[in-house]
Amino acid sequence: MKKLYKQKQVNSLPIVSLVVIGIFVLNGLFGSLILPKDPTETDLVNKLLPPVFFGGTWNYPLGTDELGRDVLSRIIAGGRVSLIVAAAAIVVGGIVGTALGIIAGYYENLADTIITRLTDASLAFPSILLALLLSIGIGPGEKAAIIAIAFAMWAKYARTVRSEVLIIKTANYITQAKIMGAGDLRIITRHILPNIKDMIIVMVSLEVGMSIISEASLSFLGLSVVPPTPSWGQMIADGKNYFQNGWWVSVFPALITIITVLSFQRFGNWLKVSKGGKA
Amino acid sequence: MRYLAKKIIEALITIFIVTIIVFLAIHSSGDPINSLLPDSATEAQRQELTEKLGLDRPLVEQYGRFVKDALSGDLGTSYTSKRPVLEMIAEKLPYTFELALVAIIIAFIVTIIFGSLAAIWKNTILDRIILAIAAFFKASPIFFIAILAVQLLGVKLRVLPVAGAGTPLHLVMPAGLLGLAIASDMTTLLRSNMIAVLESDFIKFGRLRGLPEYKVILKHALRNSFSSVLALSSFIFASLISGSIVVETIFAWPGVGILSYNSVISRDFPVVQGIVLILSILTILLSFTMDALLAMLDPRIRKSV
Repeated sequence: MKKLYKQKQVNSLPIVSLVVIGIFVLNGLFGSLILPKDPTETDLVNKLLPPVFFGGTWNYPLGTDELGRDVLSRIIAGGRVSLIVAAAAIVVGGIVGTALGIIAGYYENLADTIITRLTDASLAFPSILLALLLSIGIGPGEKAAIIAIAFAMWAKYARTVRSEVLIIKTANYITQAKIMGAGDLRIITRHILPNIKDMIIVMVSLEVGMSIISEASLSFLGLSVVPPTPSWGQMIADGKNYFQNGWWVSVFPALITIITVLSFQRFGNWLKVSKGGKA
Repeated sequence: MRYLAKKIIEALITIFIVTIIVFLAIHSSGDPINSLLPDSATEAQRQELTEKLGLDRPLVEQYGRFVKDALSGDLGTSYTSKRPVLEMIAEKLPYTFELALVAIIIAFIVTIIFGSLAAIWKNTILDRIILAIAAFFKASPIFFIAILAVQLLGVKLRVLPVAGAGTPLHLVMPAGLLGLAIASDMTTLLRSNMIAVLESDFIKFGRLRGLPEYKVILKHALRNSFSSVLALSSFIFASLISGSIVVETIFAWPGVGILSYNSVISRDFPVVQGIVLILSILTILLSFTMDALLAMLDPRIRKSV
């Protein structure tokens, strides 16, 4: 009875989260088409105008920043950076991590030893330090942010996939496939990948939020996209010096970040439970 | 003993990998000659400096030299201040240590209290509130919470200093926020582990034997579930270092984080390299110490070689 109650409670489809995620993705893809204003155009006459419900006008619904740029337009444009960096980092980190995890778990030889050591090394390596290094190596920008976040992420995939593969490969049907003469590649693509697919999807959905936060932190430190391209982290950073007479400059991008990340977390947890994991 | 030896070798290999990463990053950062010499330098001067720095030697030899220099404490000279990098970092390191130490103590206290409470009273309002706060901290950029805290506690109420170091009061906001940020991950982990442990047979047995509930929880449940949190030590220390860099820049805490931030802005390569090298080795050593402590506490780990 207790169990039934719990399941019912945790596993209702998170509609609000899905809507937020939908808007986030659509905004990242097509947001540039609906920009009310040019997000980089400065207008010092109209600097630090309040949002519409705090004494402002509909001309700038979320107010303007210290250079008179439209906060709403900048949030829309900044969302694109968040989406691109998070998606690219997850694709790179996820593919590299999964591939290495499969190799390590499946072969359990020298490659496994090396990959496991590399995994431990990168888990112990603070991701911001790598971003610092990259910012001097290839210069700050989306590319540096993507590599830094992907590097922080691949090890988690590698570790989880490896331990999963270690269990799966002892299953009888794998042994049978081997006896029937199936090659390693066939066993991996036909039998192992389908079995870890769900787990990877769950990991991805839980990691998107973390990537968005990481990108914001890197932007905040000036290690991600460089001005004038707006990003949420950078907007929060800009706004901190004008908080007294322009709280909206940092509060709105921060709220959007928090809502987006919470939605991904909620969705990820829902997915995890519905795929048979624990919340 | 075998366990310890294995962990030492693992830590050394990890440090070796880190030195390679740092070295390759330096190497890919382009020709340092351009930043060392003025634009008006002649081809002969460039040639001379290239040879002097050994940049014309094979990559492996350059790597060997980099390690040798680093081992003898020579991390190069800062481009901007012209001072030895090691000296600059050594000056700032105690501040970062202080911040990180207080933050991790706060994180452990918060995790133990709220993780246990949430597990013992799972699915109650208290549990929901704790989980919601943890989720909020996980989903919020730490620098934004820091900005809010500065505005509220520093500017509006004026109860805490907003920047700098010196008194214990200066530590409250940076260390508190850093601690809470790390605790958000650890608390949910401790909660779910403890729920599992509380349902296990030996806990039921302890209760049947008539052990008082506080003993069951403190002595058995907490101890058994907390080791799984400690097992994440490398991850915890990595986020601690990353977090302290962010926190230091917000609160102008005079540690290594702010030095690295300023060095990136002024493109002072040797300082950034030195910081990355020292902090990552420290992270590895810290997690090694944690592993060793954990093995002392839990015989199952020692025997899992």
